[in-house]
Order: sequence, then structure tokens, then C-alpha cells
Amino acid sequence: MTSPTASGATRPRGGTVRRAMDHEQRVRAFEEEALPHLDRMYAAALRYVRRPADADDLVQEALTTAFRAYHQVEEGSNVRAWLYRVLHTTFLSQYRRDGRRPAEDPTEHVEVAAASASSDVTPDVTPPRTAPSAEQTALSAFGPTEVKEALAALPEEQRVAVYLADVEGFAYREIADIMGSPVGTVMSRLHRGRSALRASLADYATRSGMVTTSHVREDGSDTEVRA
Amino acid sequence: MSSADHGPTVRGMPPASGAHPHCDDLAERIERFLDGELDAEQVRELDEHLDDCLPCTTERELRARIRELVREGCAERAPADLIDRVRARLTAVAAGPDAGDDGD
Repeated sequence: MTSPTASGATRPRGGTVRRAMDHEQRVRAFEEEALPHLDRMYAAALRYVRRPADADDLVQEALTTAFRAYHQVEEGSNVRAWLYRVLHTTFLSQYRRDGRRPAEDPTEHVEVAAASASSDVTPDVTPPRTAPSAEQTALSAFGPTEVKEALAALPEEQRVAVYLADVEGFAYREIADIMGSPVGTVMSRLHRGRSALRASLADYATRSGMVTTSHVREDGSDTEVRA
Repeated sequence: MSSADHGPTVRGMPPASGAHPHCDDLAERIERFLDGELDAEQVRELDEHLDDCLPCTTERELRARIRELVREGCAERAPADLIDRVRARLTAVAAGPDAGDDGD
């Protein structure tokens, strides 16, 4: 079948070289390019589906799909970003068959409009400058596990965007291609996702008693954390 | 010569010294810096400001630290046998009728 996942802006074109390979050569070439990313793709898959067994399936499906389209890939193209694009579209097609929509932020499109209207993303929910010392205190106990949980609680689109930026280090443009979204939307998702992580941090600090609520409020911090 | 019109402020950046009335606006700039999305000139402007502004420096460190924690928290490794299962599957696909080289 023609792979729908080969479409999109990151789609590498051409591939006359790979067309000439025999099966074994093609498997080997694909393995060399794709398998070094296996652990990372698995970690990415966990951001989409959470359950390890599902992440395992998703990675296998994505790599199989990518392999089928691999003969179209041009040498020297951005294969890594393309693999994540395939992962993304595989997730959408495999795990959305029931028509379930992602837990989208209903205000997102409003903010996207605002984001594209100005050069910077609208700083809406950010309590960015508040009580940095209290937050730094909290950071000493707020470890990777807590951050991971806070990340898991984000709406899917924000969670994936933050993962692709923070862990994979993809540029905004690449994330936009991977997620099939405008750059402004990506920036909005990153902004909202990170603000929410920040809020979780402040919330954690308050709940764990490292910082009293009144103390945080004296510092002007937003302790009204949205879960 | 155009300084009479716009002063030393460049694209919304506050002056490198004195009060920092626009620090709140810089949170976004710091974020983009950490994302590697600023050009060289913007990085230079931001550095200049950070040299002179402890709150913004703290802000940058805090944001950088949260990113680090996200990276550490999302460092799961694939099950050890996944790579072999993927390989087996690719080999089967390549040998199958749907190998892809004949196109669509």
C-alpha cells in the first residue's frame, strides 16, 4: 500500500539510489539509519501511549511503516525527523481508529491566533518570574520522576511538543513538520506545556511543605495551580 | 543617528544597564534561547542583558534545569529484545510482496 505517513513536509524525496538496492541491502541501510534512534523513539512512544506494551507496539509499527517508505528517502535528508513524523502519524492512525480525539486544550486555537498575531507567543498563564528562589528550593526535591509525572498530566499535544523540543532537541520548524502543525501552534503548545510544568513545580513545593503557601504568595507566585 | 528615534533598545530588548522594565518580556526570549531559536545577534543581546540582571539569569537557570529534568525523566530505554523483533520484522517485510520497491 502507499504509505500515508510518507507525506508531510519532512518527507524526503527521491531515492533512486535506494531503489537499486536489493532487499538485504535495504534492510541493512535502514537499520543503520533508524536503529540508533530506537531507545529515543521508544521513549517518545511512551509520551504518546504511556503503557510500555503499547509503546513497544507503536515503535515496531512506525519502523515497519518507515521501512516501507524508505526507498523514497533521499540520501542526506533529515531521516531522524522523518522517523518521528512517521511515529506521530502511526500513532494517529493506529490509536485513533476509534475516532477518539486527543485531550486537546479547548483554548488552544484562540491562543494560536494570538500567537500568530504577534511575533512572540502570548504570555498568558505564565508565572515566569515569580519567586524564583522558592522554585529553586523546590527543584532540589523535584526530580525527574516528578517532572515526568507532571509531563504525563499535560494534554497530549503539549506533552509531545515539549518532549520533542526538550529531549530530542528538534527545532520549532522540525516539530511543526513532525506534528503536522503550524510553527505558531508548536510555540503555543511549548509555552503552555512549560508553564504547566512550572505550575506543577510550584504546586509540588507548596504541597510538600518546602514552601508555605503564604510565603509563596508573598513572593507573588501563582499557587492556584491548574492540574 | 536614528538613536534619537529608537534609543538603544533593540527589538524590545531593554538597555543593557540600568533598570530592567522589560524583564518580564524576556522570559519568552530566554525560552527561545534555550530552544536554540535565536540568531547570533539576539543571543548577543540576551547575553548582554543577563550579564547585568540576576533575576533573568536565575530565570534562565531554572528553565534550563527543568529541561534537564525532563530529559532525565524521559530517558527510558527500549526493552532489550525490541531491536531483534524490529529486525526480524523488517527482514520479513523486505522479503514479502509488499517490499516497496515496485511502488504503488
